[in-house]
Amino acid sequence: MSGRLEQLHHVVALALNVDDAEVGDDASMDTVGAWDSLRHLYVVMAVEEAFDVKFDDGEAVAVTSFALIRGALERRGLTFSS
Amino acid sequence: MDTDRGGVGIVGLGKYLPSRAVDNPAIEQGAGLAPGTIEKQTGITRRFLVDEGDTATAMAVAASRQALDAAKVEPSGLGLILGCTYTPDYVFPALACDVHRVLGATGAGAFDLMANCTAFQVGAMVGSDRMHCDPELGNVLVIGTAIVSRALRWDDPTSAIYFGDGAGAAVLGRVPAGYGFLAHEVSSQTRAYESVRLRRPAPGSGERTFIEMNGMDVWKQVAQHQPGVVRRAVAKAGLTLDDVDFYVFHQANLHLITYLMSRLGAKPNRTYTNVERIGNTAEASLPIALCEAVEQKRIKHDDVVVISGVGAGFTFGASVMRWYDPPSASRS
Repeated sequence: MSGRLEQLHHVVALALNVDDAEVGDDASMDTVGAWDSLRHLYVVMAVEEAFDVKFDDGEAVAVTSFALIRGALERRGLTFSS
Repeated sequence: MDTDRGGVGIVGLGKYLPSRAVDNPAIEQGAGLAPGTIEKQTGITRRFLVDEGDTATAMAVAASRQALDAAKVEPSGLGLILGCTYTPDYVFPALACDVHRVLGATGAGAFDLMANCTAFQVGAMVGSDRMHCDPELGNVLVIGTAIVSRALRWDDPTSAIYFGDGAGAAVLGRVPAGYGFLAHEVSSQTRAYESVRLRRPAPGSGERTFIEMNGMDVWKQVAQHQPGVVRRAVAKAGLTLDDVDFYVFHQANLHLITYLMSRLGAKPNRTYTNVERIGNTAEASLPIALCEAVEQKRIKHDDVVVISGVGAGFTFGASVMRWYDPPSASRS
């Protein structure tokens, strides 16, 4: 559902304190200047809270792009369609 | 745990901060950073730094005397002094021996141990284990002391923004069974061994070396491994995270502490932070934060308290205590 995808874009953008438009499907720590190591902690916390999931400690460190976050959520049964 | 023999807990705490407060603008200017960068990245607004004549031993002694007073223990009652520092005044002898000499703790053994910023927690583990093993041993004094400022390059933004100087100390004593330390856990992940280091100069080079940090590696290590060491320590104590009343973490970075609390499912009001006001004081950070939390009555009798640190190497540690506060214990 596109609503959930939009929500994920918004949650990540809000945690990074950037406009939603800056968080495309290909957004990552390498492409978004504001997505530094410490801001990533807030991305993880925000996504976990918004989608009521809990990443394991290693996974939380590893999901450093929008696609990886989406994939981690899909593995937990959440579906996204554009 | 053999509860018949009673417990070992923290019965007195002390701290010392140098008098020279340095706010962010001076550090940002030296490191070539835009105004506001340090607070945004770390939550730190101020740190306290030593002056030329200050010594690690003098700071350690000041914190120790306060801890001994709080514990109502004389130096003659000490059985062991543990110094935790990577910035002692001398390479050797141990800082703990100098503190022993100044305090006149003639009945105590003394040595230093090295676990960087989690050394105080490791020292508390060693001290409490020693007291459990040797029922005749007197009180143990555990001291964390740091003069990190003398090992920093102020034009290096990867390290200069974080640190402050200071000392903290705890007196360990015998407490009733079921109180004091319930469990300890220490583990190391050494893949990022080179990520935070202070090298010795190459022989004959005349080089002066400074702390070098890879902040990204620090973040990855803490985020990936520190929650686990806390969970294992709590489980070892036969408790769950829901049983923990209060956390005190090594004060490295306000954002990291916020994250750790989130990973552990704990509300922010169940921890104490002072990194905003004094920066990262390395080995002194845990005892100073614990001392202030107790002074401000954030920790009370019977609370389950977790202290946890991370040090370069990387070494992670956590200790679980049931807090013993004699005045309230005697009233209950």
